Amino acid sequence: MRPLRFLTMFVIAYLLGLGVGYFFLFSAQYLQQANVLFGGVIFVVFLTLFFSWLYFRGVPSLDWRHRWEAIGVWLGLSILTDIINTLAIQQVPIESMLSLYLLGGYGLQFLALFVAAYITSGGNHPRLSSPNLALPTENDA
Amino acid sequence: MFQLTPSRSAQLRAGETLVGAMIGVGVFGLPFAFVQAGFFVGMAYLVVLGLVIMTMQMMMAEVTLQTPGKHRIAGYITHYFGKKWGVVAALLTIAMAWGALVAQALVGAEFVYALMGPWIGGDIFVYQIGFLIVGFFIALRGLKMVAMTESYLVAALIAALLVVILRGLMDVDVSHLVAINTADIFLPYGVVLFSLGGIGIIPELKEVLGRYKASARWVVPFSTLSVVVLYALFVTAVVGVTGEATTQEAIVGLGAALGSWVLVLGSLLGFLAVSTSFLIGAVAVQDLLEYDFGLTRLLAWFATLSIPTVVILAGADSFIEVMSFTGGVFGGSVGIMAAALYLRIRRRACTSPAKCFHIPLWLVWLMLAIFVAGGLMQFVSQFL
Repeated sequence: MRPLRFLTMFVIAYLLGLGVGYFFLFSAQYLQQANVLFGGVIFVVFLTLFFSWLYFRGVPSLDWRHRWEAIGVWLGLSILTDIINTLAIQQVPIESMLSLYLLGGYGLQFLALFVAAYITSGGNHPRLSSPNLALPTENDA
Repeated sequence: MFQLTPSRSAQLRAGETLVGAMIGVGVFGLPFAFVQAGFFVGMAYLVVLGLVIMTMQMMMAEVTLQTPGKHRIAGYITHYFGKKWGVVAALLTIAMAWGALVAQALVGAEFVYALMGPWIGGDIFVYQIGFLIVGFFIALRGLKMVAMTESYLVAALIAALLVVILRGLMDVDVSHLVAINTADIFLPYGVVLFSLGGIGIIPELKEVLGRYKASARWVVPFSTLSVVVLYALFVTAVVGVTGEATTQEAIVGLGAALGSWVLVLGSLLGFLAVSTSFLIGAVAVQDLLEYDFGLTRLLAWFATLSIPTVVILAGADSFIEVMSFTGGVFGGSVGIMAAALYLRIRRRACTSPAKCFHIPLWLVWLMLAIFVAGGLMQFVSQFL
């Protein structure tokens, strides 16, 4: 699973995301426009997509069980580091970060991770099978 | 030229292994716990629980001697009680290790704070998080070098403890020792059990001793008693000097009383010993989750780091309480496992007392009762 590669990608993505997130946060405060924050969320999602793609690209033989585990650990680490950031750096209570907005952010992050895992799996990915809705004809019999 | 016989050399290595596994972060919590309960009450806990732990380790040694193959405690439980109980035992062992990791992170951060806080400043919480982050980054890579240095660091820690003991005993104020304090009379129970933990290493002694494995029957009690004596001297020196002013990790208060060199020496060696134990403990939990529970390396690493981090983030900042709970509940559970294993092999394998370490049944049941009552008491006092 090349854990060191995983950790390197995660740390770079997280630190860049943190920097970008703070930039958009200050910009939103300066401009007095809350919707500027949305730009930060989108940027962080693209950073996650890019760096998780870099990770998954380096481990092409990873099966889907391991890909799901990597996605889970990435998200788990994001949540843990966000809590640490809230408590240790921003020094505000944990309740202040809980919101639907945050949940949506994690949802988008999960989507980005899944997309990265999907497009690097080289066709070896779970497929959605559609039910056969065609009516049986006389020739089928 | 002085040369050891092969048997004596193996016995010394086995003793060193057991002493090295037992001496760790727990020693720093003993003086504060003893002050909270009164020095002599704490000493009574140390003597009684020291004897109990010694007996428990001898029982475990007998289990390893009477059972073919190499296992960990959970492996022996699986062997004698079935797979389900084996899983329970493994989970309890992991919970104990998680508690130890939390305590080590808290104490390690205290030492870093004592050494660097005056220059860098900042909140102790940031040091705790920093310790965890750096520790888990290193733990991901595995630890051949750290494992090699551990025995040297334990030796250095013992040397530092001896220096502190010798210096401290010169300044002992007897009135500090006779002071009666019943603020928390049960606190030393869990802390003493935690500090004497090391039963997990007993199965390895069989391998270290090789063909002299039967000598585990006296190497184990001798090593355990040596640790108890060292702890007793350390606590006497610290409490005798600092009395009511004893700090949670002992060294800062001692440094204030005896001079900054004690603070620097104690904190530096304490930090090195604690961080090494932390790394080895983290890798051991990772291995257990990876090999016994079939998790991948990455997931095992995340599971190992996330629980202690969440516990600290949730507000656990007193390592004395962490030690007390971990030792009382999980340390006691490990004791129950050892007693249950001994009872099983006593019936099956120990047919002749001469071939087996023979403990009267009433004593085994008494120890079981102590562990159950102590665990329940700890649990109730923590949550109810």
